[in-house]
Amino acid sequence: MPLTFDTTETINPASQRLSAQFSPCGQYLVAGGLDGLLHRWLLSAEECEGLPDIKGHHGWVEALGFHPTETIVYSGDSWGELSCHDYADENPAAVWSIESAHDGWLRAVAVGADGSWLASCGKDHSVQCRKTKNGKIMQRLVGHETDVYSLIIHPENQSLVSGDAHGQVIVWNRKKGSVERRFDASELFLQHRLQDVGGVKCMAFSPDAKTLFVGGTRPKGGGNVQGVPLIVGFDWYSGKEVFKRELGIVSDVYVHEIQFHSNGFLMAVTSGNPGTGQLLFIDTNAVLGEGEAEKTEYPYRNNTMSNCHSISLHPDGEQFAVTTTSKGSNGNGRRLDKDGNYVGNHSPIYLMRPSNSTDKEL
Amino acid sequence: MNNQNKKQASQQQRLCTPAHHVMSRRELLGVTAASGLLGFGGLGGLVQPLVADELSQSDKQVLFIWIDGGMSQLESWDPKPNTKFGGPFRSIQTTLPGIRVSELMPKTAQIMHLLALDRGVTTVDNSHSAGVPRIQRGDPKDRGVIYPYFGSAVAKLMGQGKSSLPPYIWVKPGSGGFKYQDAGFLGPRYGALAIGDGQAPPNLLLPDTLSHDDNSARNRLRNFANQQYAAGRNPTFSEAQSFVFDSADALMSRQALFADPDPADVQLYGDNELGRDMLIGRKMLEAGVRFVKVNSYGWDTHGDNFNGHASLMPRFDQAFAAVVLDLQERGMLDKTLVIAMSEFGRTPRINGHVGRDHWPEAWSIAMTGTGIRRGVVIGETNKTGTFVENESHDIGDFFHTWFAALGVNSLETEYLNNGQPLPIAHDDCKPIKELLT
Amino acid sequence: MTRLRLSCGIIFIFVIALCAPSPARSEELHSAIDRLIEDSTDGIFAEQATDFEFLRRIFLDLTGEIPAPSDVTDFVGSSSVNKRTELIDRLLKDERYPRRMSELFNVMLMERRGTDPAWKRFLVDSFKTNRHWDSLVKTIIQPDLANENEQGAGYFLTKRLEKYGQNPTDFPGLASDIGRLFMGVDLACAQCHDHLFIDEYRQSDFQGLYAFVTNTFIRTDTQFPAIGQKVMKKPLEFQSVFEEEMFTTGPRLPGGVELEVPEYDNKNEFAVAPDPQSKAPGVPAFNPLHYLASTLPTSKNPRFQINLVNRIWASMMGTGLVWPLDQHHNDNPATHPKILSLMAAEFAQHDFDIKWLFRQLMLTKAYQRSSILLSPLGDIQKAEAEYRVFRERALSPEQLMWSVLKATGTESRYPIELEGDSKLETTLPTTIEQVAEHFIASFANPPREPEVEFAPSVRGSLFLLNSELVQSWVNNGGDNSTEQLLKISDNTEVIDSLYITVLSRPPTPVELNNMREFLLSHPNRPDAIAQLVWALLSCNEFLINH
Repeated sequence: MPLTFDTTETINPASQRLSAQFSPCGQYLVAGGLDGLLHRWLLSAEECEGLPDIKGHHGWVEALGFHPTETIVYSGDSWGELSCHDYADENPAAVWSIESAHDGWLRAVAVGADGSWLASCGKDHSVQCRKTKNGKIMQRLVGHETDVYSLIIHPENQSLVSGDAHGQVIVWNRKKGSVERRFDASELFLQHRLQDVGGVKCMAFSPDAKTLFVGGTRPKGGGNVQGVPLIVGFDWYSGKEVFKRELGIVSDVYVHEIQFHSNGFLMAVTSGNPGTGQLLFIDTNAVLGEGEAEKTEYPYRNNTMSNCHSISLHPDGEQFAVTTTSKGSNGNGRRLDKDGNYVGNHSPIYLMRPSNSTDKEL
Repeated sequence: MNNQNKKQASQQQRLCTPAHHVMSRRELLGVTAASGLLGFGGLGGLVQPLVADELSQSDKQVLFIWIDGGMSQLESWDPKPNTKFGGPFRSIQTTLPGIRVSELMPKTAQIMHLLALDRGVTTVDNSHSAGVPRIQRGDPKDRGVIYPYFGSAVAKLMGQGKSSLPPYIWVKPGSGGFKYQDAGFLGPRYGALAIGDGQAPPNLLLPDTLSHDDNSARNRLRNFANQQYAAGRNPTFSEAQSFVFDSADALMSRQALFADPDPADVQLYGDNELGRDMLIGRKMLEAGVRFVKVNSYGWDTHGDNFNGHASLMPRFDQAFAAVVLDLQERGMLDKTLVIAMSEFGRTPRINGHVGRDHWPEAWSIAMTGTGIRRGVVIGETNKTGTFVENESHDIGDFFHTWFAALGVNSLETEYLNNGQPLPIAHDDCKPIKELLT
Repeated sequence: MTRLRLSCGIIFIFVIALCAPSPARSEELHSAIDRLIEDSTDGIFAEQATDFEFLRRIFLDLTGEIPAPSDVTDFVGSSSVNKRTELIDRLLKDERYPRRMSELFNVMLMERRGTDPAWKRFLVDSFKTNRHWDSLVKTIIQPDLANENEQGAGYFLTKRLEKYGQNPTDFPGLASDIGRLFMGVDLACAQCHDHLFIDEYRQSDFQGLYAFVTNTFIRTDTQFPAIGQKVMKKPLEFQSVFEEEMFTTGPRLPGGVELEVPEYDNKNEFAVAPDPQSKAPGVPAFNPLHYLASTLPTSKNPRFQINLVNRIWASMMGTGLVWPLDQHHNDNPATHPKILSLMAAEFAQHDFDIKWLFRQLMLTKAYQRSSILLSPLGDIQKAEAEYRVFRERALSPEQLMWSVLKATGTESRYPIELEGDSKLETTLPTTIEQVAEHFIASFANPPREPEVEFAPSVRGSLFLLNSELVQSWVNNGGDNSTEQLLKISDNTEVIDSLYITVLSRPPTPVELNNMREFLLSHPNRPDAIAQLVWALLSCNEFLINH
């Protein structure tokens, strides 16, 4: 019986391309914007209430991570700043802030399960571990040869894993501060003329933590990047590739984020050419023959939202939030509104839940 | 019809090539009389032949760096960090006080004092790569003829100079060969000889069994035969045919141009296709080629613009800074006009594919070299980089400016095509004085 | 929703075809053409080509190579009043005629996309048997696969369905080429919207053409290129990028009637069911290609009539009456509309007989006119445009190849295939196919670019100047021309023979003197003769068809 989901809420922030995540308590939705701000919403049974934006960042805020128990969010921006705020505060000032934590774009943040440490990665090729208490650096991990895009921490043994722009995945030995082993996802990368195309955009562990899934694209070319969205899965212990799935056609381009739902399926959001974009639930246990990926019926598929850039599972395991981009977002030359202003785009966020789930107390 | 069918309908692979969208109405309708060969030789002259003589003595050259697809001015020359459309990157200080460029071009930032930059460029055509021929022709008024590209124009106006190499050489990835379409009504003689993928044209070396004297002797015979044939004949085909032999001959005497590059040079320029081609460009200039165009492809970042420029820009930055400094070091910068540009800039608005689309409304062109003022930045865009404030310049203005820098009076010099005098740059435009020495 | 449009252009052409001035009973096409040319201008005409000029030209055009010395002396020496007509008729029956025409049509139709032996066989056989143009096109679209000589005809379609690079199957490109090459209309710019500048080229025209081919695929069960068709279940849906409205169309020729896509239930979908054992794909009951094959190449299709006559005119006369060749429309009228419509009408009346058409064109005074300008012709371009003087034309890489081999006396070195196990220790080509590859690499356009204009290349010059291959032809040895010339001791005779062999004419006194002096002053006679051969091979007179 196919899954169905309802959209319970649509949030329309004025700015664009937010990566939105639920807080561990499930009462807040925090999102980073292209406007250098952290946006917050308080979720209640009735509706979402927008809270004052958290200022202080510059450029784009994309990297987000939460303390497991305290109402603390760690955020990184494209100028390289790493900050720490209390998101439950009315008008929070930074608890601490490291201006040049990375030299340039800070791409991702991941917080250790005990909340004492976090990792960040970025354009300066480095992965860093810091104390969450004060942001002091504990380790700078060197081994990537290019921009590091994504981070994940093994849920059981707390291994730190990072993925880069060339499709290389490194598992770190934090005790030694060195590379422990690697996974090669270079299928997610193409050097086309002067451009490095693709990279490891997102990662997720299977519910039993035995498989590491990485997502991105199989690039066809640079410029106006085209490629088939691709997820590859590695057996955590042996390192062998045990899973591969294409999620669309060459104009669908990137799998931007993947996360397992409590129903056991892998949620994935894709975005490519303006107007494309899907939300997919994938059965990672299904074994497909060659060429069958095209004909596969997904447990759930939604292609009505355009350009989905992130998905975040609510701690209740049922609900999730998908950030998308306004339709009609592209166009050469000037397009002005009726007042003659040049307008940008914005990113509707859809809060969704399974159709048959009961309303839960938040 | 549902989304699926719509998607299918719109996903018919598009046939239109940029070349199709290039043609003016007249060209498409086939009514243009001037195809390729017309205006060749004696027919496509200048109104002022004396001027032609003078110009052909000039030792000025051009390096025209064409960044195909549309480099984003917001990720390069005119950053607006931390603004609504500014994108993720920071800006950095340059050697010009108060002038900052994108963090993605650190090496160019160090030579800003050598450059002239106009941040107030506004052009007309926003269709992808349809703008290419239009821009490279200076977007002249439509007079029912196919105007020559800038390179062909300079080849015509200033000739080969002392080098007997073809006056217009195009260094590019992909196919090489003789690209005569650039020449428009001037005729194929003024087309570009393309060096593709850095490859020497095949059969470049004289056979072992022939000495240089033998080669001269046989070509003398050939030329004699050609003279006999030419009597009483339309010169068009003959001149084109003879010309390619002359070019071949000139290339043959310059084997070194195609030798494997010095590893130190590769290090300096970057081990990638642009580094390679920029280096060949420099060698061509050293050999005395009048006009060298170096192409870089892959800049049309409608999707993933920021990650794209993050790897594209540093490679451009390295090759560009390397060649400017190299020319300076070799004492060539004062004689060589260097231009770096695309066919338009990119939209401030960021689309759903995290890309920028085409934006001819406000973009930047950089230049240096002969006749150009050093260390000057003119033109400005507003705070968010959407539009140009105050005065803007169109490509016609730049053509006038560049001709002036080369010592060509663009306001008076005209082509003569089948008796029709044609201005060499757009009638309504003029040189940009602030960019000229 | 179906939208039916008759483009005004088609009505225009149809009217022109109807109103074509029918010649007087006794006037053949060639005379009418000359009359119409003469009537259209007051200018002075160049003389008729000399025997030498004419001979070389007709040999190149009908046999694909220069005449042999014996051909030259025979023709020039003949006093027959009708010798030109007789020569034309003789060469039309020459065994090299099919080879030459298959090369010409191969480049026209395939535009250097690739080669296939079955396709080549089809073309050669078609010209051997003088297959008429309508039959040729029909066979290309729907060959009789049981006929060995027709089996390769599907290559026109299959090659265009092959993917190249990273691109998906180029159905739109195939549709566009059918329009261009068989109907003289380039509808590529009408794929996504009505053509922006040409009113007659509508999006529905492109889409109708596209509907013919959108269900085709390359068969994998045959040893030769062949097309299969999937069942077309519904009409094609399309939408302009400028408007919201959706349209549908079944297969339809531009200006023609739409073929309605019927509804079949599963039992009747196939006229011939697919065969799982042989993997033959079956033939659908609704067969768009069959419809295309029976309506496109007919005298009821004015665009079909006009297209080839214009193309043949262009290859013989140096430019089309309509130019570019695939831009027939109201705003691009023919330079001589009456000639064009007359040729089209007569071609149709003669059942699209290609040989007949060539013959008529070659019989014209226009074709036999000299390309030498003698004053006072006035403006050269105007004179050429009015056909008062003959235009120079490019030689195709194939014509160049055969002519170079002939001139150097080396043709016999290159069999079509190597016999048995013969393996020669050489990097040089050993078969004619391999030699052709060199000429194509040096002189041809890249794939998908028509070869209709003169485009000399540095590549070609370097090939002639420095390639090992050309040197092996001009240097003394292997019974080639140089070796033959070496046997002659009298220098005047050497130069005479040289010119007849390479340039198909005797030398002028000036040339004789100059070349003789070179020979005398050179220390090494074999080298000297090799240089002389090379110089004439590489000079403009040889490389141009004048």
